[in-house]
Amino acid sequence: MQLNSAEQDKIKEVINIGVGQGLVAFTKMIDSQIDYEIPVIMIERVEDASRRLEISNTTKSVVLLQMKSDGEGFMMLTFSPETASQIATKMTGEASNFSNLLEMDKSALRELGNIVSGASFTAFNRFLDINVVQSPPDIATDMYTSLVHSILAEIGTLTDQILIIKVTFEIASFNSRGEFLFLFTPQATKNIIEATDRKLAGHE
Amino acid sequence: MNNNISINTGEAATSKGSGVLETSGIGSCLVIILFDEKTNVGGMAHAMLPSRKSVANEQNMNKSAKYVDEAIDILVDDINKLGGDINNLKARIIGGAKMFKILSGDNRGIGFNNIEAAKKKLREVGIMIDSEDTGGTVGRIVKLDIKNGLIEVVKRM
Repeated sequence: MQLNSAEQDKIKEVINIGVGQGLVAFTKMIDSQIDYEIPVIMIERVEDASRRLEISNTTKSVVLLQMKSDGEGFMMLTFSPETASQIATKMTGEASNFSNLLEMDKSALRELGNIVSGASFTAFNRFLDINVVQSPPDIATDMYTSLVHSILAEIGTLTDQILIIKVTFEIASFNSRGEFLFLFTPQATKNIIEATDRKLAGHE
Repeated sequence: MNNNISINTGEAATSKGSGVLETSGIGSCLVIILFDEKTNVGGMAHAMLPSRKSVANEQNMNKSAKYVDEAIDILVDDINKLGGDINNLKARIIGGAKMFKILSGDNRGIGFNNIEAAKKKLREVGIMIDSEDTGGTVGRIVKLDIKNGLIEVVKRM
């Protein structure tokens, strides 16, 4: 799988639209300004992806959703456990312990994942006239490498190469960062590019 | 001299006499360690999937430690080249966790399949499993000291 610079720009634009809407929803849920950076795009073999992403063994909380239909792959929302705890506290109104997230905290974070991804995918689907369907969310807190490798293994059953898109964001009121990580199969990448081309052709 | 060898997903490494082999980020992946205590030759592989039959369209046709079955073949070959004896080899397997419930749906998951693939392959090549630290829902880091064959497994508490 290869993408030329025009195709990479198309993917970035689509992701910007989706992530932008997702972060608007996120901002409303935690009442904080959130700024995000330009998406970073990589294409890698599944077994090399974590090296390319330079992820570490640091403990992270990851909200995971699977994407199906026109956009097969995975979306991850990643925070430090401390940030996850702050978000859960804000959402539930109950103090949360970052070293031991309770089921209520996890439920709040899953709901965050649901709402943010729902807003993102609704924006993707409307803009491109495609159908990306999300799974119910899941959450785990552990060594970031272990979590990412497990997700890579799963997508590795579908393809040997993946498109990775990373978007880093900063939550102003918590003074902390998080990231979106999208992993798409080659077929999903092709679907997105073709849908973008149809959209552009429709405007000419 | 630092004899630490760090291996990543899809990689394998072997050593004779000295050195510490280590790998981290073991989730559903499986780490296979083979060690010949008579010659102090051993190796470690960090495999992601049971076999290349698990992948819809693998393009790389070379043998790869990404797959449990091929990783074991690679380790046996490399240990043999360093003077180890397959008849002396004992195996330790680490990993095969299920980190997220939504992965692999209601099935037992890739981690379980990796463990089963390792057990099957090791039976086929006649290597006994000395110990295992597998399954569960937590990530692991593992180190193998070639000087004495001792392994250290670290998990997040």
